[in-house]
Amino acid sequence: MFHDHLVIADKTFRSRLFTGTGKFADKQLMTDSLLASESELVTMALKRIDLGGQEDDILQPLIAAKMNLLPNTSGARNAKEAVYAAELAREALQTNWVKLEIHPDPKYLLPDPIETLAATETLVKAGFVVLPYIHADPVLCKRLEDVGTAAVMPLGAPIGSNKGLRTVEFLEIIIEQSRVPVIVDAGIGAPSHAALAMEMGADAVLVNTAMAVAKDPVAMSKAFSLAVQAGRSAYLAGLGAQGRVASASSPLTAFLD
Amino acid sequence: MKLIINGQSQEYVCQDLTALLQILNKPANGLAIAVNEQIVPRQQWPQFQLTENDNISIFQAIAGG
Repeated sequence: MFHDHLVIADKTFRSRLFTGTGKFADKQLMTDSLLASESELVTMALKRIDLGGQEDDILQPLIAAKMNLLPNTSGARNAKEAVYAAELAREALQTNWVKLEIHPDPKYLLPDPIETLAATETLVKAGFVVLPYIHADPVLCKRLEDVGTAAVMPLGAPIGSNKGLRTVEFLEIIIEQSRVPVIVDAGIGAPSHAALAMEMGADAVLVNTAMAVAKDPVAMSKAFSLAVQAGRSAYLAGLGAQGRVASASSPLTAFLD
Repeated sequence: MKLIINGQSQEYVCQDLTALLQILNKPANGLAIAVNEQIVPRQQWPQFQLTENDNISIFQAIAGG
């Protein structure tokens, strides 16, 4: 039987929808939404604890749901800070997987390619499975492959913008050339955007904001799950070619003559 | 003993990191600790001796995309 699984480093995924845990109204809604999405890999962030307050423990429901955890380095402004954040995350979550995010500018949160490449090289040498968040830059993707990245995570549009695949031409080049899995991350705002990425041949997508801020996050998460499956099936089925003029779907018999 | 924890300086009566977490009432799950910017692996927390003016950073996994 044919199993269309995605393999990254030492893990095999049945679901090609990766999700974030941010921006959900509460822990229960987050858990219900992630379960509805059928996602097997979820991102988390790290912060200094507030000594006075009691933080919501979001870890337990994720572990109970057997989710794989992907800590990010959000907040890091350069390679040095990102490596430190990755080492802390490895301690906190007992995983050597890391979503490398280095975005010094808070307005657009665009990733710094030079620091990201440097941090990837350092972290790979230190035994991490690195999934870097990057601009949709095909040249950078090849450079990241050269230093041993486990996957690449090019953006569709700025984080949380819900604008869809504004980088589509470059994503196509990345997908065509990549020897590592391509996970389209950031900007995916609707299930149709996710389906498009999958139809183009992306290996997976990462969605967070579009689910978390929907009117009904659980229903939207299910919708994303279906869209990713549909897009993947369409890619495997092979889309028909596009044409400039019509091509009749019915035989043009001349029965009215 | 005076310790600086996440930027806040305060007096604590404890010898090691495991004891400190108990005083702070923080479960060890999902935490990472650095002392004077050096990450201390959790296996070493029970033996890790604290000294006056140690600068301790405690991090926790939180929701994020």
